[in-house]
Amino acid sequence: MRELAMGRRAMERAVAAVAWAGTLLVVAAFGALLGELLVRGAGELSWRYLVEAPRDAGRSGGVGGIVVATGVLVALALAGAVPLALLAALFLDEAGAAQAGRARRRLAAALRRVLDVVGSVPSIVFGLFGNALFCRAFGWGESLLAGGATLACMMVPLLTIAFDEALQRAPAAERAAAAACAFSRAATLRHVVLPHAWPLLLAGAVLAVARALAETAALLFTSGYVDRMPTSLLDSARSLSVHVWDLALNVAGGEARACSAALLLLLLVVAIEAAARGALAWLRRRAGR
Amino acid sequence: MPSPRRLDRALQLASAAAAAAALLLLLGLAAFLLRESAPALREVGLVRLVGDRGWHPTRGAFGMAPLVAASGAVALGALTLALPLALAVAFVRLAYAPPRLAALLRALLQLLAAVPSVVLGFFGLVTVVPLLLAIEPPGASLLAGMVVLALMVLPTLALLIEGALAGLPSGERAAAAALGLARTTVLLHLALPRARGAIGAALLVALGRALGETMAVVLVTGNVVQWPSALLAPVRTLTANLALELPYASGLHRSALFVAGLLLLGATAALLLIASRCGARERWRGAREESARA
Amino acid sequence: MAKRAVKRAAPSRAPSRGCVDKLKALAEATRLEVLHELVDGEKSVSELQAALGVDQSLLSHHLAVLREAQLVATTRARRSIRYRLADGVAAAGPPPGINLGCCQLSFMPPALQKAARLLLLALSFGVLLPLAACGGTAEQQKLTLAGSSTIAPLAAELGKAFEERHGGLRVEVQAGGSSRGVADAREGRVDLGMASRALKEEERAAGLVGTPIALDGIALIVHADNRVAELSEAQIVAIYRGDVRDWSAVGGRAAPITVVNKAEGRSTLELFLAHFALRAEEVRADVVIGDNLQGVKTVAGNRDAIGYVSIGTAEVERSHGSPIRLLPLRGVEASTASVRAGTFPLQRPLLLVTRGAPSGLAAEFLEFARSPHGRTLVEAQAFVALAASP
Repeated sequence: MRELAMGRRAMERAVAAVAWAGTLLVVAAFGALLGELLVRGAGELSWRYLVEAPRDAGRSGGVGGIVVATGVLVALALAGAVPLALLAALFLDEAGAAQAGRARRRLAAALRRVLDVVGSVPSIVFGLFGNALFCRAFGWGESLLAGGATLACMMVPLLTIAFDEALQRAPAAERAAAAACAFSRAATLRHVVLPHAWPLLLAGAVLAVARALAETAALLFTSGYVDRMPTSLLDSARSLSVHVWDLALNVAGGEARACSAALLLLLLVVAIEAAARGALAWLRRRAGR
Repeated sequence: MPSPRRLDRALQLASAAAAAAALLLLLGLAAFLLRESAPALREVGLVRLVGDRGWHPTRGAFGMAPLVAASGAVALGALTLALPLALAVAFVRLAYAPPRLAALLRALLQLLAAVPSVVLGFFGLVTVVPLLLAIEPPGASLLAGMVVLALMVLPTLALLIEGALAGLPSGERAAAAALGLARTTVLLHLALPRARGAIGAALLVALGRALGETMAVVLVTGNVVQWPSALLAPVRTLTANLALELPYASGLHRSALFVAGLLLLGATAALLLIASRCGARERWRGAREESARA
Repeated sequence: MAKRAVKRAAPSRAPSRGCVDKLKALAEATRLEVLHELVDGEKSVSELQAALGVDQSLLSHHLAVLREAQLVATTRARRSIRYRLADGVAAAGPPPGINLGCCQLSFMPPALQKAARLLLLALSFGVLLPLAACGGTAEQQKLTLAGSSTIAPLAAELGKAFEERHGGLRVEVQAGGSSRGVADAREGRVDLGMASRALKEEERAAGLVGTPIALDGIALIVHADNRVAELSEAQIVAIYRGDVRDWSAVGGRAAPITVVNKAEGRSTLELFLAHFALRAEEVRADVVIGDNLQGVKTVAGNRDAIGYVSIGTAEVERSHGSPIRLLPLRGVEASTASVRAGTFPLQRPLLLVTRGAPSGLAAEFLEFARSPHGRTLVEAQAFVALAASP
């Protein structure tokens, strides 16, 4: 009996030790990642780096046009995806209402499933799709417009799912009260649903921005990789993520610069996510008071 | 100002139209991939797409099997590496770490989940590949791809597993506490068996992500088309093949690449549907939402 | 590249005569650029020339004007003259700028203005995606090139110089391989396809016309630390077929050879295979690369690698400090000089491909590429320039 207890204790110790070791390994790996980027990349980051055009295939100069192109791509994607996703989420929300018919509820369930599937499609497949549809069939060529549209297609399912969840935040009792008062749908939305939902709507959109910023594979075949300042939406231009890829793969001696660009990209993504989380927490605290 | 009724009607129509558009997106995606891959499916045929010796599309050999095998090997290998580590992190956070450290670990996981995959691939290129090169050239290899992909899926996997393990009913928790069971025992013998299904589903979702990843892989696997025979031998995955060849492919070659796209679409969709059967969808969403919020 | 300067901080009293002279001297694009460059620190004439991309004679004229206005001063280092901001003119920032003593200029990059405009445009178009596209098409003149990664850097340089001659024109260059260049030109997706090989019979039959703008060769490259000085053709074939797998078998240190091969669809691969009478299926590669630059990078990062790339690209990369060495072929040194002399065994023309005879902007671009200015740009990329067609 005692031996058994001893054995068990030893086993517990062993499990704990292995778990700690594994965790340390993970922390070390990611520490190495962040350390590498910080040590090799932070030195280059400066005001000039942000605004100057890249020179010598990106070995010197900055990321001026690239930052602009990245911003334009994300803005295009948001502009295309947010209205569509918001309306689609409204549809899902309505279908969940008590007075909605059975057929409609089924349709909504099917739509949710479809969105889940589309949301899990690899981004490079969206790249193929965008290349075939926007670049070739629509004749936009490799351009910011084609890249933005491809990103928008990618974001629609993610945003709709996020918005759908946000809209569900409105308590059923309040909705029922609104229905009892014969509120119009628009009025219910305006006075009952949105006050509960908007922080999460915003957070969903911001997270989608972070996702779009990080995207590379979908842009490779749709917005091309010209590293210059774009002057129109039909110009080809590279995003920051594509710049990292090109420096890492195609530029001998481009590592240091790739580190800077990667660090910048990471900082942007993390800052955006942190801002979304922080804002959400703040709103929740305020609401709680 | 339009009347409330009109506004309602417009809103309803617009939202129905948007929902239809969202549905159309999947149909359009599949339809376009099918349309573009039709020539290859018709003229080359599935048999040759699988059975041809080697992938030399410009000379009429369309054997995609090594690419598919490489994709599978890299993704499965990545999960094999990531699962024990994710379990370890989940155990530490749930049972061993003091609250402060646990919170710190969570923040770290969230930060890592946000790292763009191209950055991970770059990190693999400058650290993992040279490390392996020192062991056996060329360094860029199946193993390098596995390591990088493992790093990519690890944070989400750990958060998901933790969610599954923490879902022990409070009654059982109380009973375990009354018996004086150690936290390790509770996790190992109560929570883990209960969470097996959810962990399996999480693995399926992670597998889907790993299969579909391009940037992290293309930078580190060496991209030689061959069967994955050794850990330190280079391979080329389906996704890497797309990234390398789509820019210049034309004719049947281009069409064959779209077949690969179709294959990826089918594989990830199937994985997701199976996972949602196992009830992963809610949990996956739960974790995502939570990681977005906490 | 022209940066716009914004005047800031009006002088408290009327500026002196000297101040007006200084501002007068600054009211010219190149001179303003020179000042912007010197904000970073002193530079030699050749550095300035490289940064601005202007003729040396023109540059020295502008430098003389700047000297006279006491905006810049010279320092004589051993053999060269270096320019710096004159005393009394100080760098300021951020944003980067200069303090003239009487007033201060800050260099606002055009990035910010353009960014604001583009963002507005992007946000305003919303769901009206296709409409915006139609509006945008007619706006701007554009010349597009795609194809060979060997030619792409040269085409980008030519494009920049060509843009300066044509206000409002934008030249866009995408790499992707010669196959892409030929296919895109054939299907009319680009104005000029780039191909680093001669056109094939069936391509010419399809109405494609290739205009050579330069000559290049393909060289085997190894890491600079590799002891092997030369490989015979038989040895190269044996290495690429996997018959020889260790450097010790060909006179190097005992280490496994990392064979770097090019991806399909690349003309460099086709020409290499044809020259050595190899079939693609026979090659046993350890790493497969796409662009030339990736090949250089892979070999530079692996002491025991061997690869083959464009001589021009290799020479440019070597001069940028990549630790690579070009191996002679059949005893002929692999260099631009050998290609020029016509003695190098593995040479090729660099073509710009059009569907039918070149016309319009494409023809002008081709003409420019073979003009004296164009030829200096070709030589700067370590390719051999061709004389203008008779």
